[in-house]
Amino acid sequence: MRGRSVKRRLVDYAVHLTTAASALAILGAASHILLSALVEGLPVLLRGASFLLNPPGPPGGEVGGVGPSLAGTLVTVAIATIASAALGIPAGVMLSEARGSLLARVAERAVELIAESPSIVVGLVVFTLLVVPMRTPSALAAAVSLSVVALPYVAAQVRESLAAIPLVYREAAFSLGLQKWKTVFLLLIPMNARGVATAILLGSMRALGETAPVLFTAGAAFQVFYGIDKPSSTLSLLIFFFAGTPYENWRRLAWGAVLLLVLLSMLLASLTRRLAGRVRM
Amino acid sequence: MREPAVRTRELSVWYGQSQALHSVSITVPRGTVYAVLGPSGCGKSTLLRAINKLVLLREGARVEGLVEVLGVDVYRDHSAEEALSRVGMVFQTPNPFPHLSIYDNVAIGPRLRGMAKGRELDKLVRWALEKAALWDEVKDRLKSPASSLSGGQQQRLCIARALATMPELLLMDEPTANLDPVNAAKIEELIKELSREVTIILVTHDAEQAKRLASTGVLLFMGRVVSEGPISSILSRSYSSIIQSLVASARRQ
Ligand SMILES: Nc1ncnc2c1ncn2[C@@H]1O[C@H](COP(=O)(O)OP(=O)(O)OP(=O)(O)O)[C@@H](O)[C@H]1O
Ligand SMILES: [Mg+2]
Repeated sequence: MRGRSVKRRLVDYAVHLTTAASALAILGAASHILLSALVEGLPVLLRGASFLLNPPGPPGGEVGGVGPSLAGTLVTVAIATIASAALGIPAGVMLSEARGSLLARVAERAVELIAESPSIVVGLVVFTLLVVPMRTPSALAAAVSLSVVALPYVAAQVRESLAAIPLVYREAAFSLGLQKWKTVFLLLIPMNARGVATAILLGSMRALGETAPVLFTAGAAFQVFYGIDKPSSTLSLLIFFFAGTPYENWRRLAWGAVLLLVLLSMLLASLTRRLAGRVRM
Repeated sequence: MREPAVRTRELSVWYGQSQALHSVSITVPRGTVYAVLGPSGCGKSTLLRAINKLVLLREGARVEGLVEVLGVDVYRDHSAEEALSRVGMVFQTPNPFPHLSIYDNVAIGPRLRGMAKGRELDKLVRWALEKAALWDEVKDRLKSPASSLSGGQQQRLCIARALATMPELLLMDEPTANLDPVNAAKIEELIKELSREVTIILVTHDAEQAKRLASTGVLLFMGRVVSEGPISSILSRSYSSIIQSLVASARRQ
């Protein structure tokens, strides 16, 4: 009896210890990411306008800025957000409102397939379908592959926000004698507008954070932003290329870009959380 | 003679494996208040929702048999959507749209259906709110959220919302169940008024209310019709005769 209870206490203790240790490890990793981004990136970020607007300096020379890549990021994320919303909202509506129909089942499989594909595969597919025929990587191609990666997140969130509408309101909406699509798009979606806005923001967060889909679609034009159908770059791409170079100034620039990217992501995430927090049905 | 407002034949409804309605056949004449009576869980709400097809919103629901609404077979005919657009509904719990103002709750139906806009719409909203005996209480705060109203006011708002689409048939699912006696009496008054212009199917488990408001109706028990006809006659049946007819109807199936 006694032996068992001592053993049990020991097991209990061990479980608590491992839980605490893993929590600490996660906390440590998270704060390390943030701290190094801050320590290394802040001095660069504090250069202000020259960091945000200028192109990178020459290898081994001055630090310069991330202007063209920032422009590329804003443009590709904006296009990807619009495109993933334009496709993801109807897809999410179908998944929620036409459940069981053939079209909805096909859409569901397609969305699952995209969600399960490694994002580099999405990049490769867009490369063969868009970059090869256009004969150039471009901000547009990058935006297309980012929107594909973001699509499942938007669709799933839209489906959830529609499913969250209580049956009593859903019944009231359907009792007004409107066509079904009008009921859904003009009554149910506005009823949970915050949920749908959250879905759109989630899509843009995804687009902002991904690197793999833009590796072979965006190009590597870090010096100038040429326009949406021309080679371009993004912040994540700049980090990928510059952080691994032997040039001190480029590595510092990469850290500045890391901090900027982290800040942009946190901004979007906090917006998303605030919206989602107020979704109450 | 026009066709009845609603006619069901051998209507059965399942929720998954469990059957909520068993071969229900009723006929609702036009221009009357028709009561659907019976104890809790006997299938009154299910019958109402089978008439306007809202039952299909529920997971696993399945409908068999004939349902004719305003002369249209709503589970088979192509014109089902049009026929059902002439049917309004008021629910057991007041459920005004939480994201809309008082005005917009009433205006949304006609607006989205393109029935009226601008001044016309204002007039229609006022007309519906007056019909629902709510206008005087809300005319100075039409832009306030519907949730700022009391329960009884919210239920009258829901009646106005249904009236604004000019239904020929109004389905009311225990519209007074969640109200205090004063507000319930107001709604009953309203039902009497409205019955001059629209056919009303009123679900209630209150026999006295049925007597006060309805001329004909049906008594359900465990998803089966016990009897249909004038209210006084369906309510006067003895308990033993109810059991007998239930046993008989169960045997027939
Ligand atoms: N969504 C559902 N899934 C499964 N069973 C259901 C569902 N809705 C209702 N039922 C069952 O169907 C039967 C009829 O329900 P219904 O709501 O039509 O009864 P009611 O007469 O309106 O009762 P009340 O007076 O309590 O409102 C009940 O046995 C109920 O448990
Ligand atoms: Mg009920």
